[in-house]
This record gives sequence, C-alpha cells and structure tokens, in this order.
Amino acid sequence: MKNKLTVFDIAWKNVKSRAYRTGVMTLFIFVLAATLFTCMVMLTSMENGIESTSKRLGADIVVVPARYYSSIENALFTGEPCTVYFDKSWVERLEEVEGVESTSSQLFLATLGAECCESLTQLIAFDEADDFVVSPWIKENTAKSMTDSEVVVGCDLGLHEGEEVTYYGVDFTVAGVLEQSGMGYDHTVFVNLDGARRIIQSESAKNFLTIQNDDFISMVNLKVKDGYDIEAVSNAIATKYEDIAVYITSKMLGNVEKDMKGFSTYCKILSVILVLLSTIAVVSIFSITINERKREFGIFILFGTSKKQLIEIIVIEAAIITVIGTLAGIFASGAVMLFFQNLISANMAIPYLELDFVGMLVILLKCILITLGMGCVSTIYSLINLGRSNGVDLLKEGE
Amino acid sequence: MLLAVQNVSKRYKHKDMDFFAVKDMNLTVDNGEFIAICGPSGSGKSTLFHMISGLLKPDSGCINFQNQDIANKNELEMAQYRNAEIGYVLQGQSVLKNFTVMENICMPFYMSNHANDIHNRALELLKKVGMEQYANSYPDQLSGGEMRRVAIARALINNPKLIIADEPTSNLDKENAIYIMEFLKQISEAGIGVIISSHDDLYQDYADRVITMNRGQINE
Repeated sequence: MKNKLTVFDIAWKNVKSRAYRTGVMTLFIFVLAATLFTCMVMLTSMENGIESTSKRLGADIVVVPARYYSSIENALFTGEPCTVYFDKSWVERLEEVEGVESTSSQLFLATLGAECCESLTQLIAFDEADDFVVSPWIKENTAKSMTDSEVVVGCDLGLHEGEEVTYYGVDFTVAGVLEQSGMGYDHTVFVNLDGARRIIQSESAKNFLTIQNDDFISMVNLKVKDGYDIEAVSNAIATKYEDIAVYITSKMLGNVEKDMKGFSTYCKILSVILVLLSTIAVVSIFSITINERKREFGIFILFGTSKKQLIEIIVIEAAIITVIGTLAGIFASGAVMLFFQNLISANMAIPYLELDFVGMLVILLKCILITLGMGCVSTIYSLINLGRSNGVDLLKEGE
Repeated sequence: MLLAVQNVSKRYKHKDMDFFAVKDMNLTVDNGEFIAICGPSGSGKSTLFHMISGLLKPDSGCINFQNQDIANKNELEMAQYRNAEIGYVLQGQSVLKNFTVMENICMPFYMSNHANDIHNRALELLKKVGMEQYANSYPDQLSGGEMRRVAIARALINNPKLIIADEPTSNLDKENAIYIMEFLKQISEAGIGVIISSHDDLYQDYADRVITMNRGQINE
C-alpha cells in the first residue's frame, strides 16, 4: 500500500470503480477524437498534396488532345493510367504562339496489365534536353541523368533502386525512387525519350500500343514569357488551334481545390455536430453521476476535504477519461489510416500527401486540446452545483 | 473546556413558515466527557452537530472550540478544523465504496497536509475495532456493524479532540450496538470528548451526561 493516496490516486480509483460510466464517456470521447483526428489529418494531407502538386506541375499552361482532359487530369493527380496521343508537330506549332517562352512534351504510355507488363502502371516519357517539369525534380532526387535502360519511379510503386523491372518486354533498372509528391507521380514510372523508343519498338508494344514510333506525344507543357498574361496566351492558343484543349495549370488545381472545399466543409460540419453531441452526452452522464455521488462528496467534506480538493478530484476524473478516450481514438484512427492509406489516397481522387511526424504531432495536440476542453466543460455544471451546496445539502440530497 | 455552545440558534424556512431547528442552545463539553443527546426525530440534534462541526453556521450565538469562536474561520480553515479536531460518525452508512477498509480509514489523513506514515496507526485502530483482518476488503464485503466500526476508526485517524457520532447504533443488532457504545466509552476515557445522539436507551449505561432535546431546545 502507498504511504499516502494523492488526489490523483483517489480520482483514478473512482474512474476504475465506475466502469460503466467510464466506459460510456470514454466511448463518446473515443468517437469524437477519432473523427476529429481523421478529418484533420485528411484535410491537412490534401492541402499539402495540392501545394506539392502546384510546385511539381512547373508549367503555366498544358495542352492536351481535345476531349481527353479528364484522363490527363486523373493521370496527373491520382496516377490513373491513361493513353492519349497527338502528333509531335504540335510542339512546334505551339512554340510559334506569341508569349510562349518554352515547351516540353511528355508521352504517356500506360501499361495494360497484360502479359507484356508486370502490372497496370503509368509510364511517362520526357525529353531530358528540354523538360522543365519532371527533370529538375528527378535530378533533385537522384542527382544524375538517366540512360535508356533506366527508369525513375514514384514512391508508391514499391520498387527499390537497383531493382529490375520489365515493361512491354523491355528490361529496365530502377535508377532512383522519387520522394512523395502526393499526386499521380507517386504511382508513375519515368523514362527518357530513348527508353520510350525502346518500348515503342519492342515486339510486345506492337500488339498493345497504337503508336509505332516516337512521333507522338500526350501532353505539351508551356512556359509563358515574363510580361505576358497567361490567360491571354491560353486564349490565343485555343483560338488559333482546334482539336486541342488548353488549360491553365493554376485553374486545374482550382477544380481540385473546389472538390477539397466540399470535403472540408463536410468534415467541419461533422466535427462541429460531433463535438456538440459528445459534449451534451458527456455533460449529461457526468452530471447524473455527480448527482448520484452527493453523499460521497458530503462525506468527504465532513472529514475535512476542502472544496478545492473535491474539485481537483472531479476534474482529474474527467481528465483521465478524456485522455484515455482521446488517445485510444487517435491511435485507432491513426492505425486505420495507416493500414488503408493507399485506398484512401486512391478513393479521394485528390492529391494526398502524407503528413510528417511534426505535422502529425501538431494535429494530435490540437485533438487533445479540443477533447480536454470538452472534458473540462463537462465538469463545469457539476462543479457549479457543488460550489453552491454545503456539506449538509450534499449529505441530505445524497440520502 | 473543550467545547462551549452559547445561545446558539438556527432557523429554517419551509413552505413560507419559519421554524427554529435549534433555539438558544447552551452546551459545554470537557475533554474526556461522554455526552448523549436524545430526543425525537426533528428535535434539532443533527443540526446542532452540523453547527459544532462547522458544516452549518448558526444564525445567532457562538460556538467556541478550545476558546476560539469557529464562526470566524473561513471555508478552508473550517475544513482544516473538521479534519484535525473533529471526528464525525455519520448516521447510516458512510464508508466510501470504491476504497478498501484501510484506505477508508486513512482518507481524512490523505486529505490533510501531513506526510508521515499513517499505516501503523490505521492498523492499530483496525485492531481496536476488531477489523484487522478486513484491511484490504471493500465495503461491500462487510456487514452494517462492521462498516460502522470502520467509520468510527476513520473518525479517530487524525487524533481528534472531539468525536461526534450521530445515531451510531441505529440499525444495528444489540451485540454490535453494545460493541460500538463500549468503544466510544473507551475513547472518552482516553481523554477525547464524545457527543452522541441516540434513540435507544443504551446510552444510559455509558454517558456521563444525558441531554434531552425537543423542538430545538433542551428539555428542562
């Protein structure tokens, strides 16, 4: 036996002994904490994903074959493989437009999940000579140029540096794995134009790809000269050429942001409703049990417990329940998100960048603060009642 | 003199009617004195005990404990007074269900500012009330008489100068009631003032003085 039970020990024994009350209150806090944590982590991850995507897109304008915008958007933002082609000569034509400073093209080669390839994967070929979208990022990650038998892969493909991979029957070595971007690039294999040419000329590709040479591209990225209005240049291209679709990259993200805003509003409404419902439930449970315990408090006062000590016991009881519920909720939510992170990321159809340790810690502290606040609020009614009563009232009302 | 209650009155309002729970009460208690207060329900015994223990403030008159008017104490000082000077045995069951017998007995000590080891004293008190084998038991394993003994041991833990026992033998069989009265007598013989209220006649064999109350006043 301990030499002296502290106020915390007394509160802890009370929490343990009232298993039903503790269980119900903990459950409410658990649900609240899990929902808050999930919503906060997902919203922050999406915000980070959009920010990262905005950095990675690099271009001011993208040009794709008409009617194929959504395929390209899905490929960029969620990594959904797509095969879209138009003639390479478009690059020269676009360079002629006034205000265009530079162009870089990309060729999308989606594998078909057939026997030619290991799995359904998006391959993006780019020309290292003029590319200003992917190359800087790849060099930042791998610090070297690629050969025609090398690929650089997104972090979510589960491949490792030095590993051998086969696409359309052509063998490649993984030259590097890119850091997480939160967008479709995390599921993409990058190959240079020479490597793409090897694929296109392979026997397997002839059976699956509609293109037979490298005169085709899937997307042209444009940089606009300083002093030119991006929207004006975009309009000029759209007016001048038919059969192509022109998009301003900042507006592409605008759509994604719009989707995210909807989800964010839903999350916030859900959180507010849950906070209110949980607070009402916890306040009610706490008040009922405190009313039932009036004689107990009267006995405490009778043998010289001060009201300050009684208040400490009640607040510590609420804090213990809140902390246990919150940590359990956060742990469960974290475990589910960790276990299903790929599924969540794929289903959200929004760039999703996982949080680092500090980001997680900040959210964890926010959740604890909110639920602890709620736990303290739940005691206020009981404490006010207790403060108004004297020992005799408590003993009589508790009989 | 340990306690002097001088001209103390306490008035309550009930359904637009004023009535005196205690009126012009005078009482003195010396160290080691055993006083029994008897009287019917509603005669003001419990109200008097609540005022002596500082749970209620009298409307008029004063209560001096060791020559100090307890009315001058603030809430915290009053709590310390109850903790250190008074041992109160409540009417009915008053042991805390979530704590062992040992923890129940030590609880007033835990609530004090003292830090010394109380374990031996608690064991000694448990032996005195014949409950040493129940030190680690919980109240739901005890009979009514055993719980009453625990409550008395708890009242003694901080070496109080005055024990107030409100109906200490109510709802107990004769054997347990005699045990409790004999123990309270031993306490008073050890120099501690004891005031009890009682409905039954057992007190006559133990009390040094018997006071009868009716409608808030001492019956002359």
